[in-house]
Amino acid sequence: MLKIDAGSAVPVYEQLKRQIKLGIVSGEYPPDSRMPSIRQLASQLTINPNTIAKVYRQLESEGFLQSRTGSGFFVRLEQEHIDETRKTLLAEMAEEFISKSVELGFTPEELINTISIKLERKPANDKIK
Amino acid sequence: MIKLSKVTCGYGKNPVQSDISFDINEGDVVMITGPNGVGKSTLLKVLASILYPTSGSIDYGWPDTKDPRQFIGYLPDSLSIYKSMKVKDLAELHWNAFKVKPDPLPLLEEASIDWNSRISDLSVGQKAIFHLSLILSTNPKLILIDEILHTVDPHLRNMALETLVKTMADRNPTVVMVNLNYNEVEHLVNRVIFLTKTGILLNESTEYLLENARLVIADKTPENVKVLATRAHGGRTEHLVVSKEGEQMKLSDILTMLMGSTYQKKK
Repeated sequence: MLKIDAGSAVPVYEQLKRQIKLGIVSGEYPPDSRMPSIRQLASQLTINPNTIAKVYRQLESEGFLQSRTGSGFFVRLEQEHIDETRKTLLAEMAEEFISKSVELGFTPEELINTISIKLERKPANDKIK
Repeated sequence: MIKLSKVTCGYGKNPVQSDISFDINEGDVVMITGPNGVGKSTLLKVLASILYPTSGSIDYGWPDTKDPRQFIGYLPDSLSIYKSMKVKDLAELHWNAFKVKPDPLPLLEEASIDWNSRISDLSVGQKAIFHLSLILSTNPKLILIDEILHTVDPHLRNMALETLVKTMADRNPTVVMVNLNYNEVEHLVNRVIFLTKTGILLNESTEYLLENARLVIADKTPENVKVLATRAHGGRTEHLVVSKEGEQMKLSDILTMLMGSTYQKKK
């Protein structure tokens, strides 16, 4: 379910692009499935339809979506592409986590320590290996 | 393209706005905002061709159009529609005037509006919804919406905005709204015209504003950049500047800061 973070200064098309990419690599939007129509998504989120069109076109040029004449945008599956994107997204999340932690005054050791503790406690950690 | 050239408008001797000029591209979604009493609604009436400018002109760019109002859907800030009429009679009157025969109005059922009820029996919100669906049903090239949706409860308001966005997706009309509730429409509009007593303070695309309007916190006024607004906030001095450096802001925050600056005393 796509959502706009109302408090964020990140432009709404950036937010949407990132969420859709995440949805594709996580399998929420399965390969070959049809994306919500521009009309549907725009009205659901109260966003200018041109913004949604721009998001879809950019995702198409980056290889995540494919437009089919008359029937909308479909999810493309390319394993190589997906691996790359997962890595990029992980790096982005890590950067965000690190910069926020530094703002709060934590040391690198404390961050690493916290992550290892959390990983040990996570019940589904066999999945991560 | 709609062209306003040197428009002066108002009632009686004192014009509300003088020598206003701006263009609106086809398919643009424009927000007109600014403090109370600067003539936003008056300007919208001029755009609706309901109020004629005392000087200057407005060109809609629609060739061979005798009366531009046939292509305009205008939702005023107060609805003084025929109270004793029934919903269906008013709808038919409207469609006859516009020479259209549309499908039944989609929103009525969802807003619990009975086709046979009298206008006077509708709530303020229901009236606004009815009026909105009525103007959308005539397929206008130009949709003008005054602040009226503020009186509608959140559920019906969402519904109204959803319908408006669907119309935008289907037919790409030009939309101009007078608005003070920024959060609700900040992702809908692609241009903002900020009006003050002395004229247009700002007329920019939202894309430009999001890219270039930045927040700088400093005791001294930043140099070598255009400062749009300054305010004391939370014990520090904030400047809204046109720059590539500084904190990026949401459109609603940019406009709220501009609004604040219009209330500050001139030194």
